[in-house]
Amino acid sequence: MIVLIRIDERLVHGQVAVGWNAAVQPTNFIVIDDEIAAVDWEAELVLAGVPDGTAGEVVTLSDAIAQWESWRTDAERHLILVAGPAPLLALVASGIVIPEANVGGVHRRTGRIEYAPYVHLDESEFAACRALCEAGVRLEGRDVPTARGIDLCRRIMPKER
Amino acid sequence: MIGLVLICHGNLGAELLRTAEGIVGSIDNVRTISNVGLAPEVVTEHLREAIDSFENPSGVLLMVDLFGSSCWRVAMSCAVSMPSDGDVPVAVLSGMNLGTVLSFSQKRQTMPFRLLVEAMATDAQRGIVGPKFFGGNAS
Repeated sequence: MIVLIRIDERLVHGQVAVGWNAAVQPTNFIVIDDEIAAVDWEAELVLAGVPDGTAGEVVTLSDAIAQWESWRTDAERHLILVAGPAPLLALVASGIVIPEANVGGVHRRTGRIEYAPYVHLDESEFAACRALCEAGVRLEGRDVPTARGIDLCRRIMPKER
Repeated sequence: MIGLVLICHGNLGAELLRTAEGIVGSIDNVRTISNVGLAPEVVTEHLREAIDSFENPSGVLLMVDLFGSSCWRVAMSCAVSMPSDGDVPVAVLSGMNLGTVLSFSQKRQTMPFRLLVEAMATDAQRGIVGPKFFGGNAS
């Protein structure tokens, strides 16, 4: 089963490996990222932060599309991480249903606008998030599990909702 | 001259340096970088600037507070992507604490880069002693 889907450009890091790990108790961390999956040492770096007793893997988007149904139905507890909204949009476009995704750890950079202290989006990230909202994905902004979540879709599309 | 960059969560790096300087006096050629609120590529940019700010270093040590964290990954990917024909050696060490920074300040003048970094790792571990339990029921 999939216990959490999170957009977080830091991928496996403190908030995820400690905070979210304790809250949703995954057995397997899956990072969906074509660029990182293509470079062995980068994948190794990303997975170094996976907590003791859990497994981790970096997969390409096409692998993710192929394996999604088995992740959803097998006995493992998968925590899925993407660095931005684009891979989730591609998953949705492939016909996969994503009811909800958590967003946090997307920080300041030139060209980005702040939507929450831990959610900053540039134009293309904004467009992808908006498309996710329009496709019915509930985007919850929440950096750590103990924080109060915000309805990110409402912030992205304030007038229509 | 050996340079030190502390790449940390929150304000740990700056505070650690300030605290260490309160004990041994000013420590040259140390830079501190925080990841707070910044995208990884921005932290990487700050790190590159810090490394470039050292004049003719005989080595640069990148110390991070937490193994496997985003700070550690920024340090590692920066170190891996340094030109392999460059003449400045770079090392990454995680698990920094007050002991390592003090060790750096005391040994940097007398030790070559590699030995210094190895000594700092040993000194950091030597600082963890115990636990010793007293009273009550500590099961």
